[in-house]
Parts: sequence; C-alpha cells; structure tokens
Amino acid sequence: MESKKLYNLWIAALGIVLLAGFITIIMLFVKGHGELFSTIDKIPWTILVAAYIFFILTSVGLTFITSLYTVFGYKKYQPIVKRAQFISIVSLITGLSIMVLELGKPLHMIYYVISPNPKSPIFWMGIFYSLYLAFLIVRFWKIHNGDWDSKLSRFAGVGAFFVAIAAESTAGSIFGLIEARPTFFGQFMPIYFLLDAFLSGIVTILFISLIYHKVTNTSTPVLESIYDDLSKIFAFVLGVTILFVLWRTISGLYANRPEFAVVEHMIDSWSFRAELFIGLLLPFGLMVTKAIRKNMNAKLIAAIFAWIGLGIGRMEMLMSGQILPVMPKVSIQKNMILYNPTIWEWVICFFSLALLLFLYTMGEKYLKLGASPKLATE
Amino acid sequence: MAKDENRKESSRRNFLKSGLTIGAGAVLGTGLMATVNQVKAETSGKKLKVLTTDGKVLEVAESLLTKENEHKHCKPITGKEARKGIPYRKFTMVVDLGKCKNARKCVENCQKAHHLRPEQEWLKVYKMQESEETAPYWFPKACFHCDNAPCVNVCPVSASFKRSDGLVLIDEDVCIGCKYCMVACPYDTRVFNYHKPKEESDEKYSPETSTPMREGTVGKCDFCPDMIRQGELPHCVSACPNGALYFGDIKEDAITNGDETVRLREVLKDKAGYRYMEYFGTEPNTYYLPPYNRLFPFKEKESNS
Ligand code: SF4
Ligand code: SF4
Ligand code: SF4
Repeated sequence: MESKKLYNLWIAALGIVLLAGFITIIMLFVKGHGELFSTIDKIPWTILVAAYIFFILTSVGLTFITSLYTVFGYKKYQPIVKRAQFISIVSLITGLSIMVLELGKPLHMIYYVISPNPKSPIFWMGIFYSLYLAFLIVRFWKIHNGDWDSKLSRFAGVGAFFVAIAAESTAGSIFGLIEARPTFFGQFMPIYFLLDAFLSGIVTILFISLIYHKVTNTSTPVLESIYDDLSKIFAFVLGVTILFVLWRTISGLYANRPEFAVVEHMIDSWSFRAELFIGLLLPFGLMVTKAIRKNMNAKLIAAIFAWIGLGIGRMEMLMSGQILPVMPKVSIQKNMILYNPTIWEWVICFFSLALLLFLYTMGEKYLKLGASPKLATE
Repeated sequence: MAKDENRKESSRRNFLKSGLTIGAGAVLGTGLMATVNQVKAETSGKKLKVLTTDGKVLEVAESLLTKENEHKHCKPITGKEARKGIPYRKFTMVVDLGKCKNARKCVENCQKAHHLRPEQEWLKVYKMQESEETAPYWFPKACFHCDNAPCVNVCPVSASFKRSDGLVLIDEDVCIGCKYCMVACPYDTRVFNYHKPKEESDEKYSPETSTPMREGTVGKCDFCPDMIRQGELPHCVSACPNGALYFGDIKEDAITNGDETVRLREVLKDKAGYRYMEYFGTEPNTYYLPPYNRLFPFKEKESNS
C-alpha cells in the first residue's frame, strides 16, 4: 500500500514536469526559439545541446555496461543487461527528441537523405545514431521475448556496441574537428566522449538500480556483488576522467594562444570546481576506500554526486569553446560572454529528464526489466 | 573642416549614383569595351575616369552612362542555377582599413537591403587593437567567402555551399538550423534567425534573393548576388561614404569602390594587402589593406558626422 502511494506520488511529480514541458514545447513551436530561448550568436550551442550530449553519452555508456555480457561474455552481469539496455534506448530517444527541439528547422532533416554532406561529422553522427537505435530496439525486443542468444539477437547486441563507439566518438569529433575553436580541437575529444560515456553509463545504472532495489526491496546478493564490481570500475573510470580533466586544464593554462584564456577563467568558476570536486574527486574518494565502497548507500551517494558532476561537466565542456568569442585579436580585453539559460530552457531540460524517468518507470512496470534467461524460464 | 568633409562626401555620393554603372559595369558587368565604344563620340560634359580591362585609364562622359536607381534589388536567379555561380567570375572584396571611420553606413544599408533586425549584422565593424602599445583602428568584416570554408564542410545537409564564382551561400530551404556552421566559422560571421520575419515576401525564394530571413535558419553576408549578377555593387560597398570598401573580380584583376577602379594585384602589392587570420587555411576571398596613412584619427564611437 505504502509503495503504491509512493508510486502514485512519483508519477504525479513526473506528470507535472512533463505537462510543463509539453506546454513549453507548444509555445516553442508557436512563438519560436527567439521568444523563449537565449539568443546569443556568439554562443550558438547552449544548454539543450549539453542536455543532448548528456543523454546520448548515458545511452552509449549503458550499452558499454551491457557489453560486459553481450560482447565480452561475462555471464555474471546478465541480470542487469535488460534494464541497462532499456534505459539506454529511452535515454537515446530522450536525447534525440531534445535535439529536435534545439534545431531551428527540424522538418528540413529530410535533406539528410536528399542532399547529404559526407564531410560533416553531424551527418555521420545522424547516420550512426539511427543505426544504433535500430540495433538497440532489435536487441531489446529479442531479449524481451527471451531470445538472448540467437544469431540475430547477438548480432544486434554486438552491433549496437560497435556502432555506439562509432557514434559517440563521432559526436566527440563534432567538437574535435573544429579548428576555429582550439579549446575544442584535437583528437582528445572523441576519446574523452567515450570515457565520459562509460562513466555516465556506470553512474546511471548504479543510480537507477540502487534506488529501484531500495524502493521495491528487490536486492539480492547476486545483484549486490554485481554492483560491487561495477563500483570498482566506477572508481577506475573516475580516476581516468580526473586525469583527463587535469591534463586538459594544465595544457590549457600552459598554452599561450589567446583562445586559451578561457581556461584560466574556467578554473575560477564555481561550475568547474563543482565538476572537479563534487562530481569527480568526492565520488572517487568514496569509491577507492574499500570499506565505503562495499556499502550500497555509499555507492548510491557517489553515483548521485558523479551524476550531478556529469551534468555540470557537459555544460562546462560546451562553454569552454564558446564563451570567449572567436577572433580574439579583436579586443585586447578578453571579455567572456555570459550565458544564462532562460527559464524555458530549464523547463525543457527538466522535461527531458522527466521523460527519461517516466519511460523508465513504465518499462519497469510493464517490461520486466530485471529479467534474465533464468528468471524468464521460471 | 567638418563642413568641408561633408561637402566632399555628399558630392561623392551623388557621383556614386551616376558613376556606379561604369565603375561596377567595368568590373562586374558585361565588360567595358562596349561602353568605351560609345564614349568616343562624346566630348562635352562631366568626365569620369575608368580603367579598362587591358589596363588603360579612359575618360568617359558622365552623360553617356545609364543612370541606375539607387540600390534596387535585381531579379535574382532561382532554382538550381543559384547553386552554380556566375560563369567566368571570381568575386573578391578589399577593405582599405586606412579609410574606415566606423561611419556604419555599410552596416545600415546591408541590414536594410536584407531585412535584418537591428541586432543582426552581416557586416560588423570591430574596434581592432592588437596590443596595448598599438593604435586601435576600425575593422569592417563581412563574410570572407572562403575557398576552403569550414562552414561548408561541416554543414550536414549541404545547405551551405560554395559556388564557382567564389560565393558561399546558404539555402534556407535546406538549412536545419543546427548552427554547426556558426561554431565552425573562425570569423564570427554567421547570424542566426531567431525570430519570425516581420514582413512576408511574395518573391520566389532562392539563395540569391534578399527576401526576409526565415526563422530557424542561419544567415550571413552573401556578397549581394542579386546585385552583382546585374553588374551592380553590393549594398555595403556603394553605401560607404569613405570609399573604404572595394568589390571586384579576381579574374579580371579589377576592383572598385564605386569611385575609383583599380587593379587588384597592384593594390595588394603596393599597399601590402593581406588576408585576416588565414592561418586556418580557409583561403578567404577578402583582402585587407593595412591601416597606414589613415584618413581619420581614431575616435571611439565615430559616426558619419
Ligand atoms: S568567413 Fe566564415 S561563414 Fe564566411 S565562408 Fe569563411 S568560414 Fe564560411
Ligand atoms: S545551421 Fe544550416 S547552414 Fe549551418 S550547418 Fe546547420 S544546416 Fe548547415
Ligand atoms: S556584400 Fe552584401 S550581404 Fe555582404 S555585407 Fe555587403 S551588403 Fe551585406
């Protein structure tokens, strides 16, 4: 009874955010971006793009988690595969929908087919993510019907993993190939995206599963052992990410080109500090301490912190290439541009989060996300 | 002093109205020789100097020149043709930094001709200062119509494209509004159309038309193809009261500010012309003449007074 009440409350809360989101979306189509969103030409990509990246990273990261079983054959992790696969799908769908809201003319996307430009990373990203979605859906549909190991099912699972790598690194290359913005440019970005995707995947599966087990009282020793393993990987990936962030910062500080003045500005900002200390170092500290790591609540707390850090980190990354305008010689003062999302942009971001959680909740309710072959045959 | 300057400018503008055809025609239009043949017979009236394509300076009677309306849009090409470019042409802009005083007539005229909102500047005039020790100067900048344009390379749907005549244009019928081109352009050139246009136009759209910009797409300086196709100068060039902006054809090796017509290569050689931030490998089609021998002392917020 208690849990029924909690469930209703949860759905009601999501419903309110979704409703606010739908109203905003209708307003967006009627009034246009200019009336609702911040409109700075010097910062073309704003919070919705950060949110988009956040969700596609999560989706790809969850596919990396499922690959422990699907590609690398560790049977132990099978019990979390279906849930991870499902959240991966809904996260991708959420990401793609938010991208549509960001585009000025989404209907013109038909020109992806009519007049494609194979030189463009965004073109390839579109192709890879469409393929990825198709693989994910086939794989999920198969395992939902109890078919984990048929040729088609395995092909879709393994295919999703490789296409995910292609898609995510291409998404990174969207930034990495832009010479005009040296803080984006470089081979670092595609790799960084893959790393952050992995981190997002671990954080999301820990975060959602642990809360789910807590609320429904469904934890088992087998599952706990899986989460123990995952938190070790979590610590490792956090460590590598910290190294990446530190070296990115150090190389930025060391660089003389005026474009890198932004790095100095960034380390003074609360968002950078929040990302580093709350989002990375704190959970890292928790997860490398064995006694703490063993505790399920500690895992959850670390995941929540890292998750907040990932959100801030996306924005941080996106702004690093934009708040200092191009053509730095124009002014000897390096004036940073301030970008503050409007209330409507925030509503859309929360809407997308609510959409993800709502779809997940429905999945949990109707699609038996905890199923693995043994359970399925019972 | 100021009065004197005013007079000079206003007479120059009048001159522009009639002189535009031959200036622009010589450089952009159907070639000079046809005009020159007619000119021979005329001996009286006000004379204008023009440069022929084989390098001779000729005096031409003003009365022989067709008077054109001021900055009227010409009939643009539509459909697939607009993607091809004007045959045998390669357009270029040259900015003489020594002549710019931030009069902003170029910006205003461009905005008016393209129905832009006040905050939308396809041509921006920056205050440029390289270091504390060096003097500031005004730096007008439109699109460079790069030969190796990052904006064209990154456009996923080929809405941004490069033409044989050098122009980089945007097809608003195709643009998805992803803004990738804005991120990729190293020169802060592109302007997003965040708002619905205030006016509607019945004119059939093509990347060459100057119809009001559509919401959700990207716009930028287009080198006024609807004007140059008819042998007229872009709106900004004809509007500059100081003759700081030149427009012309690289293949013909001639550029004009509507006032004087000069050889592109000679000017670039004599005045040490350069291309701005070309280390990106973008191959810009806009050249700058360094701000030597400046006509005006630098004043903050200078206007055309
Ligand atoms: S200046 Fe910018 S917008 Fe213009 S062609 Fe070059 S890269 Fe493209
Ligand atoms: S905003 Fe339009 S022109 Fe620019 S890259 Fe995207 S589709 Fe191409
Ligand atoms: S060439 Fe035409 S579009 Fe470009 S800045 Fe001048 S007036 Fe504007």
